[in-house]
Amino acid sequence: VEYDFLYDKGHHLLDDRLQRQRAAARLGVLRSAGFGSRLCTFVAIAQGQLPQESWFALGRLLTASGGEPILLSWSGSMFEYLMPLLVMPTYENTLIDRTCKAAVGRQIEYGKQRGVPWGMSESGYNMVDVRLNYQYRAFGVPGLGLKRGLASDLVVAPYASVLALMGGPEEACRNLQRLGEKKLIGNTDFTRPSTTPLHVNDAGNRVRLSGLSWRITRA
Amino acid sequence: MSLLSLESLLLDLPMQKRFESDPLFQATTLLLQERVPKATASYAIAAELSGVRTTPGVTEMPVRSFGTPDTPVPEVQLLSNGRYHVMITNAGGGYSRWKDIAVTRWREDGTCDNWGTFCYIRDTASGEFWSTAYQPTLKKPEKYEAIFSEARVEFRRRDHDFDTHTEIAVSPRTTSRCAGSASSTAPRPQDG
Repeated sequence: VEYDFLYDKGHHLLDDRLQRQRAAARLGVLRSAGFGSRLCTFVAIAQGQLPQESWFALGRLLTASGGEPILLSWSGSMFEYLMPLLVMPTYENTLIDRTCKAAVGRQIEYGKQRGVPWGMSESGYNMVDVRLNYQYRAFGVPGLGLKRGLASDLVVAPYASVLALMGGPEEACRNLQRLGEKKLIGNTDFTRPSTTPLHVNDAGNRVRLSGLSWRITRA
Repeated sequence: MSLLSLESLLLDLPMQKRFESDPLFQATTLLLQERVPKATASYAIAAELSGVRTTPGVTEMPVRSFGTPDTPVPEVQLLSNGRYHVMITNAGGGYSRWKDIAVTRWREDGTCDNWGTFCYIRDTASGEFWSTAYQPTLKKPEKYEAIFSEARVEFRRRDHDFDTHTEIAVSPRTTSRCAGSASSTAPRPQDG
């Protein structure tokens, strides 16, 4: 893969805007600057296509969650924190390792605060456009994301709990069981539009999430 | 994605091991071993959380009051509106600055503390004069009090028959306001 056309030499960063316009298909994982780009930047450095400076040019805005320092992401979603762990190794007590664990912890805490099963990430949700296509965007936990207004949406995505198996396996299993008991994971499309503010995404928005998620009930 | 996650848990990280086995990546793995920084400016996001939690009680700054200008170490109050900054000690010394420009000169010296902006009062009958705080005339008042609260600094002193009350505040919009009032049991002409 050539990265030159994305690379902003002034900032040592891969340009996310350019990516959206021209290369969305090629580098689909590079969704949010800073987090998703961790994987992409690392691979490019390893292959010698980007200088090492670009790793340290990635944003390192820290916040504290329950006393644990944690890197801030854009939307505070489970995806941003845990996606790179799907293929990348991680080491105990490093910044990334602590951040991922604290992110799962905060997700759990937020679920308790709102009284719902936890696990928020980008997801389809209960709103349709004129053609009745369900809409899709990132949701996250306030306190982890820089984006404003995270607290105004409440969308629980089961695949976030599946991802969290890498951060807190036992809690994630319990949460998935809870989702199952409440019949919030099904093999139909979305749960019916409800008047409650809680929209629970079914296992998949068929188009966008088919690659991301997997229907648990059919396992 | 979910499958990969389950796989990493159940099959003991096969993808991660595959990733690690590549010499190109092995040469770069040190990047992943970044430590948690010990001291860092952390980003405050309390506003975002306030919709969810009840806001913790706003801690009010306690009012500090000193009955003497001669504390072992000068006690200091800082006032600012973001552009104009004032520092005042309990003896009335200090400095003021506009952004990074010093409006009044100041040298760091805990023994003298005689820099700052001052107001003087002179009794035209006797010719005696003193300042509304303790510095820089160093006249011993009969009664002296420096009060530091969040928004202002106040000095109260009594000399002979004069009670003076000085308030120093930095207004959020303009530069500064300095109000002084003097009253006496027996009115006398005076210069302020």
